[in-house]
Amino acid sequence: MAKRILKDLERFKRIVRGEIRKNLKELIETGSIVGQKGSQIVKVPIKAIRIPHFRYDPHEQGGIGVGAGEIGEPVQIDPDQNGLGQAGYGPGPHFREVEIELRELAEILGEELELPRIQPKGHRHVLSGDEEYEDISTVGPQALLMKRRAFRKGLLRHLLMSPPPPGETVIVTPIKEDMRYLYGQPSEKPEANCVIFFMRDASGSMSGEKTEIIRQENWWIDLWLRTNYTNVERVYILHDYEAQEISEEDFYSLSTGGGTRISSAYELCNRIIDRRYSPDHWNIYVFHFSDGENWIGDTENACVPILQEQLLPKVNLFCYGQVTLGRRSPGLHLVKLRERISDDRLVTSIISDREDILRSIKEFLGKGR
Amino acid sequence: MKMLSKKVAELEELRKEARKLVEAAGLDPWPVIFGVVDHDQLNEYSAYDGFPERFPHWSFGMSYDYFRKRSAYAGWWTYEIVINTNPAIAYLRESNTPIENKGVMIHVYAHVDFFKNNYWFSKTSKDMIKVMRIHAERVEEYMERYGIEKVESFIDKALSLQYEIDQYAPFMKRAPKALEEDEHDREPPRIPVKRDYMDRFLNPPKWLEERRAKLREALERARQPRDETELLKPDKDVLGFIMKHGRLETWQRDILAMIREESYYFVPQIQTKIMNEGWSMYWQSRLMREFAQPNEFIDHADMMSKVLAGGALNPYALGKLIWEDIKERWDKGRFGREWELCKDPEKKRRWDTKANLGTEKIFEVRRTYNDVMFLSEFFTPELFEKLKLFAYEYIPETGAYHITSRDFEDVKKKLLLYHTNLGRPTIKVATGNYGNKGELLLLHFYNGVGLHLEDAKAVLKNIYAMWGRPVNLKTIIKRKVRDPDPMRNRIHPEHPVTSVYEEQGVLLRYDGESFREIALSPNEVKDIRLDEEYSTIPKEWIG
Repeated sequence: MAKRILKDLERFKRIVRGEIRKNLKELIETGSIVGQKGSQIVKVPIKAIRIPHFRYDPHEQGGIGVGAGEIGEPVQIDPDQNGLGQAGYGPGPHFREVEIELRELAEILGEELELPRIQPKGHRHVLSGDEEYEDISTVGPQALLMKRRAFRKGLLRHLLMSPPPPGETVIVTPIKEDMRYLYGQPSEKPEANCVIFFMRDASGSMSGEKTEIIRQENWWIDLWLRTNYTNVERVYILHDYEAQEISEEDFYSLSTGGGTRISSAYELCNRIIDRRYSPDHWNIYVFHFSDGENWIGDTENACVPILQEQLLPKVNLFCYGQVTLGRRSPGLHLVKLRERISDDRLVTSIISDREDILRSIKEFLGKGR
Repeated sequence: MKMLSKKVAELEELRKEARKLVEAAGLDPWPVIFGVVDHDQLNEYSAYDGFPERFPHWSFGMSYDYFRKRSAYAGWWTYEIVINTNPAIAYLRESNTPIENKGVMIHVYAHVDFFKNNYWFSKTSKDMIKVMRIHAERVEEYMERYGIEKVESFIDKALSLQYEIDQYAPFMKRAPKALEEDEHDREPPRIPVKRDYMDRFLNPPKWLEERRAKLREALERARQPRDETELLKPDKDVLGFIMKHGRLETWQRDILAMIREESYYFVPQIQTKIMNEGWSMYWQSRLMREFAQPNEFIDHADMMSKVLAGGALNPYALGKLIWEDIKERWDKGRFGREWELCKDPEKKRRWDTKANLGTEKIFEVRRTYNDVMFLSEFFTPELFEKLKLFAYEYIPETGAYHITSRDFEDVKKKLLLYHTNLGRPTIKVATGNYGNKGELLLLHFYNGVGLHLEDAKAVLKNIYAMWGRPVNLKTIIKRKVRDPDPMRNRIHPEHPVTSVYEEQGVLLRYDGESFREIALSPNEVKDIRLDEEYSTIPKEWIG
């Protein structure tokens, strides 16, 4: 018979999955998950997964804090988290949000959108770094060093060797023998390399809400791809008349005033692939977002030939999303691409508001490429 | 195998040492069975509030998931778990160092001493592991018979009332029934007679007997409500009331009974958290300080600093601090009338009568107090001075919490608010026959702090499912009557100004389909307005 706790855990997870599935559209549209720091766990606010009790309104209850501060000064307090709140309640921890591992969230996304698993190219087997920490070891990588423990060992060594006179400050320098590391079990997984190109038009008409929609959509796309591949690299390309490669942060914050020549981005993307990401070793994904406006003649004379001759043969997927806030009629870039190119690797999608994000993700990733 | 037995022998050596130390110090614990478990088992037991088994429910899975993630991603571990049974059971984490284990064992023995000797634990079952297992098996049986979904969703509702019990009930001797007590009142008045022989004629026995019977009947009628669900006075054991009188099937009644039994078991642990954790930290720290070898001391100090992090808001730290303070005060004779009346801080600072009563006093306090008593008596202005505490309140106009006071009385009343009635609002059942229509009426005894209304409504819905008839809750909410002067907020942004609020009595009613809020007059909520106030918002901030 399975352990009782595992059954409880299974039922809890089923409830969480059910709730997330029910609220997935809302979670994506409000963007409450996107932008959380931390690489493995996200907090999902879900009201339904909680047993309600009669309790005080935390706003009316107020509380006690410790430390400096003038009367009248605002204080950062999460009444459900501070020590006093915990002291007042019964056994067991108390929750407002559900913490969920990213890979679980990705699985739910995949199931809900019926996304097919991706069959990656490349088949080297390596030990991946996917581990959980369950104990302490004397050797390990620097990132997992437990500094406090190391210093403690160092202090102990110091005192045993030469006890300092009372009242003296001891300066401790941990040596190799003092180091302690978090220890976890690595697991064997096939390694597959993936590079994602995120490209967007940065001309004036693409700012504000449009950028926010792109950020949301990219986060979920990224989530799905990185659970399908062990090694993911990302390239961000911003373009107006010219294109340039920039950091993720700038990608979502910069905007320019110039005109638009989409082929500049496609050319740059192609150059970067040739220089850094050989299609023999890399699974290549390109996502391009714009509002569909383009330099006259650029789409048919420059973009289409680059796509047909250069990009499409190299990539797993080339996705173009046309973000037209409130305007349903597709701009010319999308229409022309659809007219001139018929290729499984090219997917286009129209996003006219936040509600379209989910559908658009499905259109992009629904091919399992 | 050899390695293992060596480790066991080592631990047994440590255990004997720890036991000897605590006994020499005057602690009086039950025997303790120590088990060594790996991190995953420890997470599992933590999720089950220390027990190896609990009834099946997803909420334990949620706790387990939480503890697992904390240990996997945040490097956060539990050192030990101890269960209040006789003999007591304690689990140690496999990767504790020997020094950690020595400290942890002292810590555990101090907890067990507390369980055994503190009055508030005197009524708990000492065989709870077995009780929990029986509950688990019974709920499993119900799930097999009636379906997992059905049983689990009933438990969801029942857990809403988990702590709506009468926490003091186990300690009350119910007064003997008035009827037996006033036996002579049942004798009907007699016609006075001058001579004894006349009595027989003036007060014939048959007539007397008839009158006695009538009187008995009348008394009986006066004492008995028309219906069992009508109460003479409000009852705090809402869970027990619904268990007895709700429209429930037998298995549902049984589940409520199990949850209620478990809650009565856990209540003393919530009621004495600061004292109990403080007691263990106090002895662990004191005995390790006195008896640890220099090389053990660093591990010990490090562990203490981790567990006590967070200062006065950490129940472990606050408890330990108060115990240390009591010990010092009674050792130095800093108590009694003379001490209270002394107003000279310099004299108070040097006060030492060499009374040496500290150890005696702390053992006396551990025998009879709970957290509320402990804090009201021993959280002193002198202690408060050392702690840099402040009270804070939420100001809706700024959408933030603001520091409102650094006054001892203000901070103390907030501290007590968090511990009185397990830190929860007081809810009682008034009658199960409200409006003579079999409706439930609950009273919220309002102390100035309102209910979380959204949660309260969710609880009412859950109660409706168990009661089967409309459910009413009488409470008081705050109603905004005047916005603050917007100019003042602009001129003095450092002092937030808040609206003027007025209390408004409300009857919240759920009839199975929708909620209604019925306004009540001040007179109608007189019975639920307690003469208490916990707000620390300065007067000049209002209006």
